[in-house]
Amino acid sequence: MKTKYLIVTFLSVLTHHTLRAQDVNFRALDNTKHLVSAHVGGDYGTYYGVSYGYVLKTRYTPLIVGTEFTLPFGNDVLDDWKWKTSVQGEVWRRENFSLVLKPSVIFRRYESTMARMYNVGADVSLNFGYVQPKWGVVAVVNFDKAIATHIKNGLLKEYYPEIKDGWYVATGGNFKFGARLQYSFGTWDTFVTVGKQFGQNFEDNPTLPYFAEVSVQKRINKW
Amino acid sequence: MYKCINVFLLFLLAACELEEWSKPGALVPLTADQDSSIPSVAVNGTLLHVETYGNPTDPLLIVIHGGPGGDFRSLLNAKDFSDDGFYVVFYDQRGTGLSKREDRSQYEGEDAVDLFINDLDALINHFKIGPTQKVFLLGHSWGAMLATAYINEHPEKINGAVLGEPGGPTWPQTEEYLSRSNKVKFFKEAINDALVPEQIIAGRSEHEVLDYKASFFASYENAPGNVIGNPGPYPFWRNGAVAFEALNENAGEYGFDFTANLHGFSTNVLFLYSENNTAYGKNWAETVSSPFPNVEVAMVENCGHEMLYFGWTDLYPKALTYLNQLR
Repeated sequence: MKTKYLIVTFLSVLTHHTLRAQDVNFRALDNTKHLVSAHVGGDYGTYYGVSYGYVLKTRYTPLIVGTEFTLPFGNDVLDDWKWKTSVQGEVWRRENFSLVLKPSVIFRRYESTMARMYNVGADVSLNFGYVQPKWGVVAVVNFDKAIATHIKNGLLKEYYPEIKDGWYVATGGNFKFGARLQYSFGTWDTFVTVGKQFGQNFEDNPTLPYFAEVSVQKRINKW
Repeated sequence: MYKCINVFLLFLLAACELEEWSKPGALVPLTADQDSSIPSVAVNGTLLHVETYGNPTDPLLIVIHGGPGGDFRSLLNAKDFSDDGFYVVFYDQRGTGLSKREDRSQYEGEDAVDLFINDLDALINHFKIGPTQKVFLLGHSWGAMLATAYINEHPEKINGAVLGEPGGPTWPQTEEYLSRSNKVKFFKEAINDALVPEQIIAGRSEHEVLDYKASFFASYENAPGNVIGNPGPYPFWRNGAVAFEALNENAGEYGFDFTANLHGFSTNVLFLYSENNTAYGKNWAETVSSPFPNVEVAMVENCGHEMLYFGWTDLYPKALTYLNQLR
């Protein structure tokens, strides 16, 4: 138990950043120890990424400690990225109905000719749905809060020399409301999530109003 | 041990001076109402950032910037006309650039464009010192559309106009042009540069924050591979995000048609399109300029849509020849 506690603590500290990370079919976990996934999708632009999850068996429910790295498509590969770490578990279940809570921490970087930003954020997802070992339909609610951002302005500083670089606090947040279809076969899971996204005030909304993601996951019992 | 950690955390917090995004002047320049050193004129219930060049008794040349939501910083080459005997007036439109911010509700009514026409009318009345002083308009992009709208409303007040690539004098035409000029390329760096900040700067209502975020969105049209032919970015003061978004929504909801009275405007109009804007071209220039009964269509060489900034060496003599014919 102490070892598991240490692993959770270690991974939480290691990852301390996230948003989408690691979809999981809790009905198909069996003796799974590791989850390895690849995903592709679109929300604020298009992206692709990989994620890893470690399955901890606890007295009540398996806990998945996961980390995910996401890159937008585009010519400059590492100018923008998002690193997200999450812990998720089934907080309620009745027969085939399930409620999963997934809090995460996010660290992300953005750079263009205009400015460079490093952001620390947090996000929480609630997934509620009907889930069987082979398939499931899940409603997804997510809130992604950008907590603090360091800005170093580029071209904008040329245009406005008095502009202030530095740390900016409580920059905003976005909601996502969507639906997920999941299908499992053998040791593989697939997830398709679609939905709509809104700014936290439901007025300043993202330019692209919809999001979609497809992910493929391999369940591994032993390395 | 815990005390040491707490002291360390407090030290870190103290070291990081946290700024608030909406603090005036932090991320976008102060506006005329916030900084009295900015030259401005109070008209029609708002405060406009205005700069003038030349002799006030010379024929007026009012320069109208694009957007909506842009500003006149990239059009300042046009002050050269002051050496040619024109009194050149630049202004940032209502709620944009260094002009005073206005509430979103001002742009939401069916008559929102009338507000901009009335601002322009008030500005002309402010600077026109006699009935014989001629008035010319130089409009770029949305500014050329606004100039067209003004001529449609007040044809008797204008003695000539230079129009640079207006999307179109009607909303369906503008939509058609925008579908070509702002075509979204989902897997390009440009879309990330424009939209990824939306996951950091999100769900805020303060105008300063929205204006700053709009700076990133505005970079999209100048990114490498853009179809409108701009070789790169051009300078601006402040994107008026609220004016931009609300006026676009307004056009989508109510539409517009600035052509109803143009048949009565017999003065020759100089209509310019740029050589490198593949979304525009001669055919489109001829199509959207056709409501004017007397129009001269000309190409500005070696530039794209932002022709007053990147194509000045070719645009200037063409526009000057035209203006001198009518002065």
